[in-house]
Amino acid sequence: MQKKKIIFAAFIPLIIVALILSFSFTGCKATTTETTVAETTVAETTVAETTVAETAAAETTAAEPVELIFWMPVAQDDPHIPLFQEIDKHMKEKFNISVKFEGQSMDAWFELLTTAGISQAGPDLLFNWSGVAYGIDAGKNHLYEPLNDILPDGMFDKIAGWGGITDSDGNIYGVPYDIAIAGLAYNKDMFTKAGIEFSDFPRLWYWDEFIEICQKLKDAGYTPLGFANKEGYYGEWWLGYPTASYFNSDEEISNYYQKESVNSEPFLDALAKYKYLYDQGYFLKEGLTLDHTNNTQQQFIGEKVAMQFTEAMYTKTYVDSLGAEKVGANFWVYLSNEGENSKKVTGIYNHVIGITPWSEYKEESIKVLEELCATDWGANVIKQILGFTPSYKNWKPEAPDPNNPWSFVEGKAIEIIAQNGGSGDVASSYIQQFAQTIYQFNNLFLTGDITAEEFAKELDAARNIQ
Amino acid sequence: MDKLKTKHDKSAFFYLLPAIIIILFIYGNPLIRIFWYSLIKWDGLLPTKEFSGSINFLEVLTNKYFLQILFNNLIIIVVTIPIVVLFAIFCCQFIYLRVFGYRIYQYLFFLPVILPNVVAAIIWTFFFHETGPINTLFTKIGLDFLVVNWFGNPRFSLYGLIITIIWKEVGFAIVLFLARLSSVDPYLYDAAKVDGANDFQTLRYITIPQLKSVIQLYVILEIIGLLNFLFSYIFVMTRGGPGFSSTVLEYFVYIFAFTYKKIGPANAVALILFVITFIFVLIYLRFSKSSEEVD
Repeated sequence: MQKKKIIFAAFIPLIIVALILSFSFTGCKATTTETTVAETTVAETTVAETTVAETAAAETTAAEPVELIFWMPVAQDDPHIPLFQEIDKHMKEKFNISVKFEGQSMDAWFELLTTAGISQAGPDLLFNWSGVAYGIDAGKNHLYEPLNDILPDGMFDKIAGWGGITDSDGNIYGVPYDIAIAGLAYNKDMFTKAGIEFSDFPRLWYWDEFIEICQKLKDAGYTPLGFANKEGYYGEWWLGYPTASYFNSDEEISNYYQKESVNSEPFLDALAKYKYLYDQGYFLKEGLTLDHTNNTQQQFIGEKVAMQFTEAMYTKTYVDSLGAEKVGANFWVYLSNEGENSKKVTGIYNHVIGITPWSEYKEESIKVLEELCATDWGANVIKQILGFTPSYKNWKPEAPDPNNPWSFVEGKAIEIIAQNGGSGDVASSYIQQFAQTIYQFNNLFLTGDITAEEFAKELDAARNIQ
Repeated sequence: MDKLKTKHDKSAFFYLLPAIIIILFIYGNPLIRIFWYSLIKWDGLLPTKEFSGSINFLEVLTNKYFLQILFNNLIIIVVTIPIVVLFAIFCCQFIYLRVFGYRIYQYLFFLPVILPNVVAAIIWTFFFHETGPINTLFTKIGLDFLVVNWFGNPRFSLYGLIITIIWKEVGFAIVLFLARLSSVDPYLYDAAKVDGANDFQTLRYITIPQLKSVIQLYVILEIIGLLNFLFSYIFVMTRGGPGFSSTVLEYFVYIFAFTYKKIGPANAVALILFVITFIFVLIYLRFSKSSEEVD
């Protein structure tokens, strides 16, 4: 009996240890948060001191910098890596803030974001794309802190536009640091042989002219348009960028795609035109099941197609591969010339940076956004290191770069948008489930397995619109 | 004696208690969490404390594609397993009887088993491409009517997937069946030969009855596998499309969680899948128990 008691007594501490261990695992987030809070207090004090005594640079340098963590998906040799080294250096010198860049795998990016959102833990600063609804959707799902009340007042006027990251309720979830103009690259040799005049490109062009060009190319034996639509991205491009032309303002676009039934004009008209391109054989035939990553640029570089999606970075790749004498680019075709938007170039806010709701360093994070997105210094490093066109309104385009003509076009176009005061980003108005439904169903629509009305109904259902 | 045995049993329980706690934590914790998460409301990615009852389940069960997706699971199981089993038995018989080149066949059939699923999926994506080797072959031999866009057509995408799975799975079935056959008395086959049985009769009256128990186990294990381990094929080959034509429950969990960011319904689908799988696990356990009893 005594022996039994001893055994029992010996096991009680073991059980307690096991239970503590179990709860430590489940509660590890709370422990981390406590530590972070403690660190924050130290950090806040440091930043406050820094602000008060800005001139005392020596003192500031001596103090431990606040470390912000930034996540973004990167490819090998991604130019964002040197960009963030530069940002880190600059922020340390100026504000005693360190920005640690943590590149993540592109393949697992969305899964990583989702798990960060569920656990409300991870970096302070987060990258996202604006142009395909990711930013807005992620913001609505509590991955990004709405910035409306925490951005410095003057900053709103310094950015060319906020449409790409603003939801239909007006919440801004991030700051765009660059802007792009979606275009169609064309093969000059093929255009010449097909008898197509392109000396006045880049300029706005519309559906009828575009179809005529496609037919001429087809008659000359070329495939007019690249196509690699396994994931459905082409559907989003063809139903996104050119449909801006039906509307008179960005608000109209935003309302239409976020709140109204798309089983109506103009979306049905856009669908009909998209299918027309497919039915006429203007898209590369086998592209229905080809993946975007391995085929989009390669189709154009391999001269399989006469035209392909482009923006500054793509154009640079095309020029590097085929030579400037062979590569031209024009703005993406508009499906209509009726809306006011069809008279101006539509910009796409490519990349944005937001702040996570769980970050303990919001003040410091705002400083990073401000420096990168709304100062001459930021605009210049974006331009020099990334080769992107900054979204900073006051930035002036430099002399044309012969190796990247489209970058110069974007430089000029940003001024057009800024002058018009618009943001003009139709794709960004989609909510994620809308975009996802486009991905999922547009191939079925092209092959005739579902009608335009059925497709539109799917899209309405995805947004709970009857 | 009985008293002593009971006493020993109790102390054994105390010795095992720490391990039991750890095991319960590791295995029980996720299950309980999935169950709990499927019953609470979510605001975007954030769980709320609010109990939602059956709302998440209703969202899943009333989803217009849920039945189609469930049916896809069923088709994969119903088509794949009989083909794999029949083909494996057939091959097994000939390998066992050491037909000419049997060793080469043995290695050849087993080769896909050691390939990662992703690699198998990439290989077959290439084969099934619209201008890939399969369609090219059909065109060259004048069978143009068989040329289809396998993964671009909702009527064929699931079958493209099934062919890939069969190719990948058949090797393991052969190895498993051969292992069972190796313990069969070879005199049975000799006796059948003496009695004048042909190959089909040997297969029908000796091989299949001898393999019965292992086939039963394999079928149950394969059902469990086909319910839970198809993600890599689908992700690489079709992304569940076109539409939802090649989506299965397992991939539907992913779609809800990582593309729709609806974690509650994703947990509900996961739980439904778990229940379905668990039923087959119970059947499996029953079969293994009865096999043990037979042995």
